[in-house]
Amino acid sequence: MMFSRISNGTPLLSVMLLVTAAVTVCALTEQEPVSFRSEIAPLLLAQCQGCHGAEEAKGEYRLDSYSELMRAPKNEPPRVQSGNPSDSLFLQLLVAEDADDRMPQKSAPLEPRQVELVRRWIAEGALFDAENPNSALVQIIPVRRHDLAPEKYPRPLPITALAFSPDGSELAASGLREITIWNSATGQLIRRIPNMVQRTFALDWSPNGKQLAAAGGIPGELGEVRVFNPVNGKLLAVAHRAGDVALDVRFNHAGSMFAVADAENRITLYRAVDFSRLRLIDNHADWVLALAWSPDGKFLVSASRDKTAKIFEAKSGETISTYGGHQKEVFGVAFRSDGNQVYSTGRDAKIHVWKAGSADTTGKRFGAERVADIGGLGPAMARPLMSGDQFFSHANSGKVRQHDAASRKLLREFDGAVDWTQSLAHQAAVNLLAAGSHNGQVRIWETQTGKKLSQFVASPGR
Amino acid sequence: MSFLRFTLLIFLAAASARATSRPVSFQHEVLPVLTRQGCNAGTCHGSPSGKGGFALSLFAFDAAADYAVLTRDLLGRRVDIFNPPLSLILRKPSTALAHRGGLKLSKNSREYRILHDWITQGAQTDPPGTLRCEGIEVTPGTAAVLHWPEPLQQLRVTARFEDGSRRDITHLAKFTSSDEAILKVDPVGRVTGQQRGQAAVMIRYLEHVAALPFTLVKPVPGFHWTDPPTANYIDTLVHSKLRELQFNPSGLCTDSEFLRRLHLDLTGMLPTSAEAEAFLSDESLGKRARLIDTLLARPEHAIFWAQRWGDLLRVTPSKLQSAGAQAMHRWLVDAMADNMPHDRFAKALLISSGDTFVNAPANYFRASSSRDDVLETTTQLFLGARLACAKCHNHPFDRWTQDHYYGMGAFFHRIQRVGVDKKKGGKGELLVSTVSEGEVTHPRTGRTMLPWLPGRGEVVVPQGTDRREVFADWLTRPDNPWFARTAANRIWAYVMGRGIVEPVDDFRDSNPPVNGPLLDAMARDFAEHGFDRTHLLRVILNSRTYQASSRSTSANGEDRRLFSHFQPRLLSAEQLLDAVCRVTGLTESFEGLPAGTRATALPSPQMNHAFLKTFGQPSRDTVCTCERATEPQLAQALEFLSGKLVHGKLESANNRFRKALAAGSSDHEIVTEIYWTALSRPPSTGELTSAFRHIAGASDRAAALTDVCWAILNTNEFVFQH
Repeated sequence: MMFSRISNGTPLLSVMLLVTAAVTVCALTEQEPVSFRSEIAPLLLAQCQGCHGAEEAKGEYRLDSYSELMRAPKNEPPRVQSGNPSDSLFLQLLVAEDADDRMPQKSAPLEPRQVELVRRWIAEGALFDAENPNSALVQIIPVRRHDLAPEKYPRPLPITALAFSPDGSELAASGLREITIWNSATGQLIRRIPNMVQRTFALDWSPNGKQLAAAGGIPGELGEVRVFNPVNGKLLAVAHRAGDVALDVRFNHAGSMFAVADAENRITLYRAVDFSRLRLIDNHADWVLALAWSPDGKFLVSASRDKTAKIFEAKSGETISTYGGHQKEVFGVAFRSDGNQVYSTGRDAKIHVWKAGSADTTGKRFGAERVADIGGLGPAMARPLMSGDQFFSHANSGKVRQHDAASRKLLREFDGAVDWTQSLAHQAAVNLLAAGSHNGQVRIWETQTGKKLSQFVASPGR
Repeated sequence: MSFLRFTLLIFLAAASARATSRPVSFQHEVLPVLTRQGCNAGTCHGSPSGKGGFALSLFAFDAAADYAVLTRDLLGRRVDIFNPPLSLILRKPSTALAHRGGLKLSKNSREYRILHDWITQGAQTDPPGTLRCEGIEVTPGTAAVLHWPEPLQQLRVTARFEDGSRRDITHLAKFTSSDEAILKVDPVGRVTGQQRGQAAVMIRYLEHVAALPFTLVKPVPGFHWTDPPTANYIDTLVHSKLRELQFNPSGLCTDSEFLRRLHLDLTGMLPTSAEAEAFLSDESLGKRARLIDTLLARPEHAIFWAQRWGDLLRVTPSKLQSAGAQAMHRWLVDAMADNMPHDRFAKALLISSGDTFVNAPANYFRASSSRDDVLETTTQLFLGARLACAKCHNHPFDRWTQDHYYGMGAFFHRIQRVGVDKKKGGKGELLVSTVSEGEVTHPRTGRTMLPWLPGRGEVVVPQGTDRREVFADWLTRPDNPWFARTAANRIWAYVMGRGIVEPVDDFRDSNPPVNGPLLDAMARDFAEHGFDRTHLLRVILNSRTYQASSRSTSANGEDRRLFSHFQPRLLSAEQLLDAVCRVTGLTESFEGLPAGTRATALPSPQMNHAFLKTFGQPSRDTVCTCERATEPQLAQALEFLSGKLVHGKLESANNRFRKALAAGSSDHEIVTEIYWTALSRPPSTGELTSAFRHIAGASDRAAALTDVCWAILNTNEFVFQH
């Protein structure tokens, strides 16, 4: 590729000189060539894409993929001149003397080591070393192997995600770069599944119990959904990658697919059998924080920081309904068991009950109709859970509540934790409810009686 | 490993050990760092909706909310206690990850270390029993004067805790200069003068705010004080400030300038040609003082100053109904004509009740239709304090806190307003009364607020007493430091064009008076004379400072604030309209008002009058003096060049010069009369010559005179008060 580009009208001699020069440099320093996908792409992602991305392309310049980076703007030479760092505007801007001209704007200058990487990469021909130059940068960066968690945690880890195994005997919990599996009845640690990303924000067990999907990431840097074999802990796939965290993952009731919500405002559907991507729904204007499937698996409802909740048809990806009644960020969503009503929670500290309907004229709701609301939640990121005719909510007071779905009556209030409740899991088959707290505690109750079955700190070694 | 590298390692290890051994306080270190780095400023994450989905409380006034947002919100995304360097609150502001706000936290800074160590220690709140910071002290503690060649001052800030202990928190305080052109202050509290003048440094630590005024004196080569005479204490105090900063005042203005200036300030109108000729030919001593007395006694003076109060009290039919607006206007005219003492004036408004159509002052509670509005209006009018910020958060630039806001609000909570519309047999009047119950609840803490007064604290008001009376009594006490100063500053600003505190209703430590002793002296004089408005006006108007020429000299050309010379200003919309009418000898008709009504006598704004609107007539929607636009506009220039109103009056067959033409007056008579009327002086020989040349060269004498009059109306001398 490099040769074909250079030989185009360039005397053979200079090509030969160039090649010789490159060989000489390599020989002298014994350096591996700079890899675009593992060294340059992560740099662009962290430092440039905030302003020069697909969403906001300042100066009409994007560099969210290799081909965008290399594209010559109209009537201008390309900003990266392959093989010629000193003529590349891209590099010139990184080292501009005047802070007003220097990129990234208003930021600390790149470290000399990083600038040198870019310089070398351009000098070596600005080559692309992944499959598709049009792919988003985040997709071509090599999959990371995440470090092992410490054997004993130095302090309790906030429990931001929980999921019961289909029979309720095991509870998966968010760990530090791992998933921990606990015995629901005794609170004993059964297994540790390594090679998960730094933080886990959602867990879901496939209905057949053969897959455990975990969504999470490194805030501001990376989002991943990893699917594991929950029995032997084997990594089955890194199914989803994004430039900021993945916030939710939900299998449909048949277990044939799962949906992912991320901080790049997207919902993505994957086939469970081979993890191939089925559909991308790019309809929200801000992060998608939570998802729920309708009982028949035909619809998905989403909660977003854009202050709306939306219902989508899974097959077409079309928007069925948009609900703006919270007027603040929407944190959690759940379908009632008959699929006719949605429960959502948001920063307005209320549970709204609504259904898809015709648009009203106020412009506040587009094809959604508010049925009722339930107050008394704190403004935490409370994600409600729906299971059969039961409905569970939690609040930042630590309180966990159980409501009757039809009457919305409060059935039970489980004893409060001392810290925020950050996660809930329910297994209807065996009437088990688990709540994870910011201080690391997990509490498990039997929902028919309200009896607490176990309570433990879900951090190995604590 | 080299020795150097080894030493460095040891040093780093020691530094990190030292850094982590002592627990970092969330309240006393982390929050101040967020303020200091600008994270929680109103333009960044401190704005009500935050930035990028991350919202902090403005200047950390709500510590509990900030703690939750930093550590718990959105699943605890923003701090990582297991891998602190991965925390967003470190990576973003240090631009390790793209940050829209740019570089705000350098990785090698002490501030970075504080946040990092706090996260490493588990991002905890402070343990119970942590001492509360009660206040801050700044050294030097009093106003400082800095001199060139080394206009430098290091500030030290000490926090005082509830057990009486003190700690140096200079490195945690935030320093801001009120005027960067005059002085700069760096993050470690070092003040550097930039040019001569006055400015303040504001120091903030948590909710505690201090401000330190600085005077910067730079020797002016060749300066020597001319020791000009003084008429009264105003000149003495103005001169002392001018001398300190090395300016000399301009000399006195001419009689013609004084006459025109004084007429405009006291009556809103130009002097007539007869008045002007009489004053200029008067050669007796003390004629300026006599003119001041004469004009203060004119009914037009009461009417014009009633209009100024009408602006502030929002006297408009849209707020008060026509009958209410008229009643209020009449009451204000009477109050000005009777020279009602300012304390009685304020009290009359503040404890008014009854039918707003009959008992005019009750309209105060109609224009302000809610408790919060009454509070914000009252404090802005009479205390010179803009409290509105404190409704939702502690005031960003002042000592006012949310507690103060709702504590003071408790004085105005028990007011009932009952509208009487046609259905109820009324005409749209409002009945204002007080009720005996009702308390204010603090929206954030839920606490019931006791009435609270600045400098006094919480006040117990006996049941059955109108709380407003307690407030009004406190407000109008002669020793209330704010009441007299605010009023004196307003009166000064009306005639001098600029307040000693500017804006006139924005008193705060971080906006100090340009001449504190002068304001204090006027306030004292005002209070000692029973808050007599005309007394204070008389003192100001008789000063050489008021009577100074508007022409600057080489020794004061740079000064715009210290009153070394008179600052010319555009006539107000109403003054200008009356002036055009006066020059052309015509009247303007206003909707629903008798023919011949002057613009400076309008009881409420004429909303559909294009000319008045163009020149900044306020619609009286707010209690702020700033609602009257004083910035020059292109539309204003166009109006005088070719606008409908000016053009119409110049072309009118009934105007002054056309009538004079018809009556057979000479060009000399007509042109001279225009000059006397428009500019309060005779034309110069040169002006007369060029006017005659223009008329002689024209075929139509009337058209040529129109040109001459048009040219005069377009001079700065006409449209400015100078």
